[in-house]
Amino acid sequence: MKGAVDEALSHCNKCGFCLPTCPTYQVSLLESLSPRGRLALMQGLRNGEVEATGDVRRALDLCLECRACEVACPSGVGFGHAIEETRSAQGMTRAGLEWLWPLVRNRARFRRRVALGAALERAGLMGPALAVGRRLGLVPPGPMVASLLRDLPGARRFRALERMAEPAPRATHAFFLGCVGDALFPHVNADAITLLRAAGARVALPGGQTCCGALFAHAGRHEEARACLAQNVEAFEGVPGPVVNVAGGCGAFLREAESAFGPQDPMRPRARRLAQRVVDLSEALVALAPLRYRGRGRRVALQDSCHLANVARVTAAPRALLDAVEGDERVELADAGACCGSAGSFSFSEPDMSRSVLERKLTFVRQSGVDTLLVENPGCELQLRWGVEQAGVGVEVLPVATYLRQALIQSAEARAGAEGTPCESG
Amino acid sequence: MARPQLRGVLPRPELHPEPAPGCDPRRVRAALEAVCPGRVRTDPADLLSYSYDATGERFWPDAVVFPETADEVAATVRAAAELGLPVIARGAGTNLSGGTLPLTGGVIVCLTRMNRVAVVDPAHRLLEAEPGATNLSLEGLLAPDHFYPPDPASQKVSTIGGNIAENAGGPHAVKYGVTGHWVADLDLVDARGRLWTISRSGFVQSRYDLVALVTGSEGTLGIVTRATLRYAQRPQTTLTLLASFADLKAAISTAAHLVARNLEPSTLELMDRETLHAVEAFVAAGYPLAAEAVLLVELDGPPAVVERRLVEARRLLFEGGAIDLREARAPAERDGLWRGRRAAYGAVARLSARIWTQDVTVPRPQLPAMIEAVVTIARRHGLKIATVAHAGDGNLHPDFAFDPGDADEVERVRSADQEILAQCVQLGGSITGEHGVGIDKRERLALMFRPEELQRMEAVRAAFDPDGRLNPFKATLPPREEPPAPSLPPAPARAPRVDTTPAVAHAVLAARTSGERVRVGRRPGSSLVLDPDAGPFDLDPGNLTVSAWAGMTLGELERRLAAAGLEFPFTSAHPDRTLGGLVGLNLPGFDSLRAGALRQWLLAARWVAGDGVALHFGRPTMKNVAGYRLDALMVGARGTLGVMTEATVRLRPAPPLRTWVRGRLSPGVLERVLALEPAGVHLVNRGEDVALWVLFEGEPESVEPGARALAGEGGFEEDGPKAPVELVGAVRAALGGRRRLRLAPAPADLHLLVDAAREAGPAWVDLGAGVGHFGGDPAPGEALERAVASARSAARAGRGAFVEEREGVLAAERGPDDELMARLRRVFDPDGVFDPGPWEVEP
Repeated sequence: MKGAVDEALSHCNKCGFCLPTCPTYQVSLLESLSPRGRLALMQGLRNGEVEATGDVRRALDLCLECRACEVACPSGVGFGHAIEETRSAQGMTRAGLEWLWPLVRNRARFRRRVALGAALERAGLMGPALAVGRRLGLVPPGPMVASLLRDLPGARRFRALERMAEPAPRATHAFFLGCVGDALFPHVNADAITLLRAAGARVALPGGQTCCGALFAHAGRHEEARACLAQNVEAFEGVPGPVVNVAGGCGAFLREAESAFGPQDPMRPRARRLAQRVVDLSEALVALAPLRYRGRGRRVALQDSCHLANVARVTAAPRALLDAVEGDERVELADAGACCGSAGSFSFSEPDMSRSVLERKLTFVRQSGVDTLLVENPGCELQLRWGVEQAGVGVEVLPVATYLRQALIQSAEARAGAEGTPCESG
Repeated sequence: MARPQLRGVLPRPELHPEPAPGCDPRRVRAALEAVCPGRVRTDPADLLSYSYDATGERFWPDAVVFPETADEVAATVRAAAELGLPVIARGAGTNLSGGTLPLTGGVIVCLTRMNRVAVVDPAHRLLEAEPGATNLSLEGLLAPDHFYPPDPASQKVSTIGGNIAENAGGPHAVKYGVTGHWVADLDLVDARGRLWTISRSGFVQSRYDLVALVTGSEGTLGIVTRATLRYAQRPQTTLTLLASFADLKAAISTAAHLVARNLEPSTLELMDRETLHAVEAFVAAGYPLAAEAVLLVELDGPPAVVERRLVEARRLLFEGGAIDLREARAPAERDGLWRGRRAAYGAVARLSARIWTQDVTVPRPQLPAMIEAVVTIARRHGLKIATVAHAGDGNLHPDFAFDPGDADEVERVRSADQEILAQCVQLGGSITGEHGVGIDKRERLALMFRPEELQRMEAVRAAFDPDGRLNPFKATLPPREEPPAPSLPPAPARAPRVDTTPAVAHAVLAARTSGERVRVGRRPGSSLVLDPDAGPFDLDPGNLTVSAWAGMTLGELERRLAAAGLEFPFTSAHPDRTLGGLVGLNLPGFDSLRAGALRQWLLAARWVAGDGVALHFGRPTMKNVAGYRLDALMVGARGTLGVMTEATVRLRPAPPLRTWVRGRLSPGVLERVLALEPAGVHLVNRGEDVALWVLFEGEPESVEPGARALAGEGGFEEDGPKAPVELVGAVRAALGGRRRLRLAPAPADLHLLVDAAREAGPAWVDLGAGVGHFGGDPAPGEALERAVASARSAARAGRGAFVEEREGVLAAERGPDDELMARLRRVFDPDGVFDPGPWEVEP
């Protein structure tokens, strides 16, 4: 069987259409930091022209894996899999993320750690705890961490989420919680489930689920990625209906689950069946009874999740939902499909490039004149919220799920208010 | 230096340059860091990633430099010369001929960081762009009211510098022309690392048209560091039609009909079945997969014109055998179709590992024969091809999908390539219409050019770059054998009639032998008169071109073309002049605002150089980037480079409506007139007052309202379609008077002409061309001299072109290019047989 790199190289005829879609090319204007350049480097590695050291390695490291190049590629080059295969073959696991792996692999432990953080935060001890944690190597480096560890959800939040779960046999939908999303953003998952329930869905939260595996795969740790996928396949087989999620990256990875297993692997057909069930919240809502949403006179824009747009190719459904919000105006962000620089763990492993890519994004956000920026993935939310705060851009960053839930409530309140007025009711 | 060498390269037996003698990498780095600090790359990742372009072959450079200013480019060129390394300018690396490959190593000057764009003169629709700016960034600059027409398929990433180097075309070239039509001035760093401006922002230039020569020269004559470009008004309506055909041939012949019927499609693209399947897999735009071919036709213009043409187009398409017709008006739907067409080259790579694409261009009526030949040749060699064509301008792209690892298939591709290009030349075409020669067509140039022509290109190259530093081993091909020196046949029979190119060659050789100077024309003192009543005449109505004897008068040409319902816009203003004289003097026509400059109409020329060698450059094709366009040098060369014997020019169908409106020049009237989009505006001072003559021509729907509006104004009246007798008289008087002055200031200084025409007595000002003719008085008056002085100082301040001609003699001003002008002249006239011309300033 041809590997992903061979397959990609055998179809790239170097037309260059990918260049303008690549965030790292856009900010550097360097061919080696473009998809075409990186493919040439992979070819060079294959031919023994270059070694995976120095700048060659840097160029490959600096790929965000946003896969925007795949959408632009007329030849259908599967760039994402090619670079993952290369990284794996070259042993290029992302350094500095060792703290992350045990957490994302164990949802319960991650939740407990976050709840502990929430307790520290309430006690006003987060600052000293961070300092100690840094010294002991328990807290990751990077400027974003402090802002990340704010308003942490406490144990009650997790309990509330679990109470919304429908027992598997009665469920119409299953919900995929994620790892970072589950531990740090349980309220977003709760918002999504609220919306689904309002639209008539009965939502199960299969207990055995874990990280989708994308973080591992993007870091070249394919064994662990496969283990995650296999665990999720088993967890969701017991529940009927679409597998809904609010993390574009996770959803996209699950949709490609099949490709992680070899042709003879018995897990492969099971992974395909899971993949076929995966939908984004927006797709699930569009397929259900329409809800009424009411805004507050805001000007909003959607920042696409890279993998939701470039891998799952879902861009119309979220826009259709947002356009249904009465009273708010949605504008199209320039280059809305371009990565914000979060890119999974990229913002931790490559903070400088991540920052450059983010700055370009913030320029477009400023130019758009919006007051609310909507996101579809927890990574984007962290990155952009941190970005607008740092840059002093007066924009609120909200997950689509949260924004829509607010709009749902406002619509209900408005109608309740209207029904309460004498002239309307009487 | 041992350099890791290329992979997947195709065998090119005649192209095996030795790598430049290696340089110590540390020395290279240090020398370049001194001129572009912090922007020099020499690590393997960068050398490898600048080792290819869209042809996919790989040659490693020694260093890559990212200059940010023109001065840095110049300094880099000088530093590379010190190091003994060649310099290769590069933009986005999307070219399809290997034009940016560092064949022998060297310094890649990557211009992507010089990417600023700005509109500099909205009144004359001029913008400035740095070479690294993308076509797409111009779209951002000019939308929504205007646009920059050249649109190579790679427009989202391709750079203006690359467009200029390759004279890029694109689907819209069929109506709007190729890059060369839109380039006004260029800033250029030459091979010695000097920065200078070559200017032709007006219709006329005071020197050889270096801009035309540099455009399409593939970075071998200089590195463009800034371009002044013209841009266009965006049409009010655009409509895209997708017509499906069950038969490839039917689709092609229908395309020919659409052009011949004067529907003026703004694009006319053909895609065959293979291409359709490949692009539909990418765009899912609803291309008809059952069709054998489709035509993608775009109509643009005022709504009424578009609707009328749509009716006609529908009829022609169905009559031609279309089995289905889709009309896309919504931008999203049009975009989907266009995304598919632009992706054709890339999408075909779905079929196989590598694509060899050609861009043969033939006279339009020959396109069916060309496609048939391609299909036959591909079948004979058992090759998979997918074909796209800019059917409207005879430009065909057969894409061969092949596996570079399959030696036999590679050999078959090479044979097919050779056969197709030979067939193209046989049909009167050019082996490359828009991709350039690069390394890909270099060996094939000999199919198109005789050794003496190849040698002349080499000599022009050497005039710019004597040491061969700029992009070596590209674009031109030294002849394999020395061309024979022309010699005077013994006992020449004095030809009674000079009506063939050999007869002219004979006369020139005879003059050279006897040491006489050759002066062509019918003016007093001429030694050579081309017979006006004979000579070759080849009208190709289907191609909308004519090749005519340079001695033919424009009046006669006009009569012959009118019989075919065609016209050449320059004839009516100069009926007594010859075609050769028109080209040599670069004169405008009456409808200069609509027709543009002569250089946009000249496709090819034959002439006899000073050493008696007959040369032929250019082809009767709408696109041609095979080698240097030396024919462009003949425009405005005033007979200094040879005796032109034949010119091939584009034609157009006579416009359905043409009418002159006459009135008087009064304050504010010019602005009102120009807003009506006339075809020409002329001021005539006959001594007592200044008359304003306004020409309207084109489609009735777009022309009539303007003409009516003006004719309705007080003091204006409509005068009908014929060129007004008074205007022709004024032209004759101005041109024929003993003492006269011709003045062409930079576009921004046109008001000087208007003022001078008001104050300076007998005058004719062609506002569209930006040329004023002043005559009558024994000496130009004070008002006129003031205008001349202002225009000259504006030009010196770098505001653009300036031409001053007294008594038919160009005012000689020293310029930075004097020496180059002289070297170019000697390429064609080594022994000084012709008058050296006004710009030859003795050192």
